[in-house]
Amino acid sequence: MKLVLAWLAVTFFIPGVWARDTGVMTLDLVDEDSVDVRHYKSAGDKLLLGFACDSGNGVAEMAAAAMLADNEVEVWMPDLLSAHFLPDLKSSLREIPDSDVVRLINTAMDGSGKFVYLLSSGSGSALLLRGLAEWERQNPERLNELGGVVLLFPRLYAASPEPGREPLYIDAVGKTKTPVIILEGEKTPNKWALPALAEKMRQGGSPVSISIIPGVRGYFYKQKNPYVAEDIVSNQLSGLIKASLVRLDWLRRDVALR
Amino acid sequence: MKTRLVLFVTLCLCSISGLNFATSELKPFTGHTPPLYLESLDGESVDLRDFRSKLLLVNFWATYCPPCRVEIPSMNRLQARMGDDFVILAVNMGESADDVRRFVEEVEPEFRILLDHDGSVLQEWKVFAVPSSFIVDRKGNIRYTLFGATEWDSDEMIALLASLQ
Repeated sequence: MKLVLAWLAVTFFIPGVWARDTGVMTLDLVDEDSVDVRHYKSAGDKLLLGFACDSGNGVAEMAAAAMLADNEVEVWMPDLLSAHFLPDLKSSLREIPDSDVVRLINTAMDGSGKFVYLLSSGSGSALLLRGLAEWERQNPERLNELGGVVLLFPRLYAASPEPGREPLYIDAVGKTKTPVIILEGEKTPNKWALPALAEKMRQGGSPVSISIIPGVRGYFYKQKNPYVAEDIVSNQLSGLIKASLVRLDWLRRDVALR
Repeated sequence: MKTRLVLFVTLCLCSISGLNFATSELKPFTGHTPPLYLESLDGESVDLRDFRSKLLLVNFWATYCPPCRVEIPSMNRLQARMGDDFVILAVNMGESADDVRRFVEEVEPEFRILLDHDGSVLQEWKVFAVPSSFIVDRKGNIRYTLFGATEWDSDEMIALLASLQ
């Protein structure tokens, strides 16, 4: 009896599981490659293209995507690792060509007719940023059509930071103009490098805003032994992202007013 | 079967000697030694300049950093082996005194814990990864840096420290 009740609870009451327009679509990449894209449809005019570390298969990411779709933000999560038969490793992200990101941004913009925002986390941020830099280079006349970028605990170092030396960043840092929101945990050494990172990104033209989330580490929604604060914030991930999209709109308006 | 046994033994030997590999990850450093003036967890004012003529290990750490927790016992042993001529200054990276105190009561470091509340010192020392360590010689010059945890009381490490003037 308890099992049946548990099954009913899981099936009917957990958000994101029942009666939501989700699925997987296949999009073309360059050179006859294709990519599976998990999508969470929404009637709203915003589309979030998420280059997630785990291709959107993480529990917190899927729940957040479902909640965002309920709140007028359509979410697409392309599985670029599988598209190239790559294992789910940090190093695999370097194997994914910039052209995939460029193609996906164009497809999202032209195919959906919605205002497109980009999202990534951790090491995936490097893939997103180099793809974005290339997209901007190819599409200088379309920069105003892109909503902006949300980076969750971005890891954009070219190599591990050496004590006593300025951190070195990947080439794409400082080569974009699109507005960027950075969300970082309070309990990570990376937060101390954020002012320098933001300054470097601004040199390329990107307005950058930083938010530090109290009481959580980097990768807070993937921690195996989460702090209480990490559980709470993970459950509010969709709200954090939605608020970041609103702040990106403000950043764009600030730039337009200048 | 014989080949597999040889491979197994080789891997075991490698992993045992791996405890000492960390010394080779120390990187020689030349450059300016930033100032360090902070309050300790016990309320004592600590200035790096007060330790001229002593050999120093300046270690930047945080309570949320598992490798930091792992290396503290070997830092205790290192302090015991090196004696009073050697000083460890362990700078916590911007956490509250209460969080640090809870950690210290649990892990029991036997050296000075300093609090860098606003992160101003770690910014000057350019510390963006944890744990990060600096070996400062008796003249106040940073001689080596290390990112990551290590077995601080390994024979190789002690020999290297002893060789520094």
